Amino acid sequence: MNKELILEKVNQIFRKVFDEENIVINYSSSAMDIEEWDSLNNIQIIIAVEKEFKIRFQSSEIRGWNNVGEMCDAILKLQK
Amino acid sequence: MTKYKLAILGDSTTQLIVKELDNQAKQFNLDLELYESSFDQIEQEIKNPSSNLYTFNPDGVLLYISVEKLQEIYFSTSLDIRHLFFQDVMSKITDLAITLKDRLPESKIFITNFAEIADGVYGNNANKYSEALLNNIRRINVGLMDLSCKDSTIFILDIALMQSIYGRKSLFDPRLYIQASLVLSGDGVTFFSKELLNMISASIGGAKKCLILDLDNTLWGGVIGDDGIEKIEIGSLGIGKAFTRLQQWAKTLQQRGILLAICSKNTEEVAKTPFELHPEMVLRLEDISIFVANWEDKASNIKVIQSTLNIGFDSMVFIDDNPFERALVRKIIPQVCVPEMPEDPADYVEFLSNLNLFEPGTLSTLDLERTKMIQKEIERNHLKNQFSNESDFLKSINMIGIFDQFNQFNTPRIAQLSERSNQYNLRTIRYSEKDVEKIASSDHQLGIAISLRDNLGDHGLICVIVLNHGNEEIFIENWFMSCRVLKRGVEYLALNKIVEHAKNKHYKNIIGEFLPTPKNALVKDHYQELGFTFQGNGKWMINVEDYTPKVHYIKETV
Repeated sequence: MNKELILEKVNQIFRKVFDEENIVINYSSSAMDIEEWDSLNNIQIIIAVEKEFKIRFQSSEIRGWNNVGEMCDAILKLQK
Repeated sequence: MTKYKLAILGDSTTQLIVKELDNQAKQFNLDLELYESSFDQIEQEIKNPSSNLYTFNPDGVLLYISVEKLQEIYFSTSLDIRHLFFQDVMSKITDLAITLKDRLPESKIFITNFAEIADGVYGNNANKYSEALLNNIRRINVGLMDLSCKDSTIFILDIALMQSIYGRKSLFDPRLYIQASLVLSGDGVTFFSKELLNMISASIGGAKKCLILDLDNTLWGGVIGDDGIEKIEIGSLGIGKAFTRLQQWAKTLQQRGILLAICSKNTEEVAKTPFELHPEMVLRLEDISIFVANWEDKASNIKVIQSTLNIGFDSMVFIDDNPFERALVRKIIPQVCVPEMPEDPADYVEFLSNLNLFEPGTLSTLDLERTKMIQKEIERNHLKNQFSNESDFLKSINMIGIFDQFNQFNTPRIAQLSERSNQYNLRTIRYSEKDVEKIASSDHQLGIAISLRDNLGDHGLICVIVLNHGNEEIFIENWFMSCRVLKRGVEYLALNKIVEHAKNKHYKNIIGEFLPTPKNALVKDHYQELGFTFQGNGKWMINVEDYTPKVHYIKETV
């Protein structure tokens, strides 16, 4: 799966977790841009992402991403 | 929707639980208002009489002390008093519960018990050393059990049981605990919320009160009308143990006050014989509140059961191995809970018990005597059948009927159906594979085999008709069918076909005959219902010219 497709799926997950149909994210989106993106929502996103892509992040990874792009890179890496 | 105010007091992050409870509440018909205490403020909220908890004035309080927190406290307990750790914990929890009861006398208290942790310190011998964590956890769980037994307003939300069902790995995610003080994984939150809502809903009267059971291939293996009492699988015969276990489960529910009802497509006397005579049946007639066995559709029969027992549809659970019956009941009476059963009967009991459908609120002696009371009531009132309009449903499942002549591929199945069909069998002539081959190659006989499939599955070859071409008329030498597809219109489809065939062959009349056996009373009016006229001597006749094709909802392919 390529990075664009991953972004698309992650976007769907964001919409579900934030319960907001119109959220559009890109690689540079970060917690700064999305008001509701707090640490708890972040956990929910991670739970959903792991389920969707059937992967498991390291604890240290979970806090380290600066933006959506880095998360997508991490997903891409774990998929290989 | 029932309004319910629930307060959640936890020593871990509980926001995800709150969110999930909100998501699931609708399924339980609950309009939830939630109050969440601030993180790790259990004692303060309970001890302070003017805390927000008491202003909220909840109907129920969840006290969620996690085993992970417990473990932290255990670590800081000095070794020489660790064997008394459980006493400390119990007295603390009891104290909190008593204060809650005192200040919220009307509300129910739900306390979680503790998941067992293999800490890798004492191993199996945690059983031997009273200072071990596991040893203490188990004692606390017993203590909580005692507390709940003694007090009708205290309920234990059994996390230990949940863990034995789902396993620690799927309930607990150490990363989430370390990152966010979450003591449940994503799945864990889902299971936990479902169980909590189950308990809440039961505690306010939403409990299931009645289990409606199908018979053939649900309570025993095989078809009683065809196989007979000596061949149905129950107890030691075949996979009978699977059905015995299901009956034992149902019996325990009955002993706890759940009403059992039978809803089966069968002749009533035949259906009752195993309950009366089979030595290995666990359930007996006196365990059954209401026994409905006839050939009407099951939704109508469940309506009869409902009005007789006088309980809500939403307090009924219907168990049937047949996807058609399940879909029909779901469609016509959506309030009835209809679990999607596993294919393999060996899985029945685990599947059903894990659904935890029968969470009791509070039991009364009234519950325990209910079966007898109901039985007496039924003796007084006669049952009136109510019929629901089935045709909409039949239209919706897209039935397709496939006609075949006898051929080498369907020969074994035709012989098998001939051997096994006893109820829907007009003349009970048995055909061996050789006989089938003979008919296939005969000039004056025609064999018709009909298969049926629909949205709910492929039923395979389910109806066979053998026609004899006489000089003046066509004689239906035999007509037999699987009872699983009764009331679907297969007989109409078949008769239309027979008439069409007779017309093509320039016959004017078709003759049918019913030869009674001890098992085929089901079809004694078969020809009459299809519009044949009685000729005397067991024979029936229909005229080809006057025939109007029967209405049915099966699409025909060849």
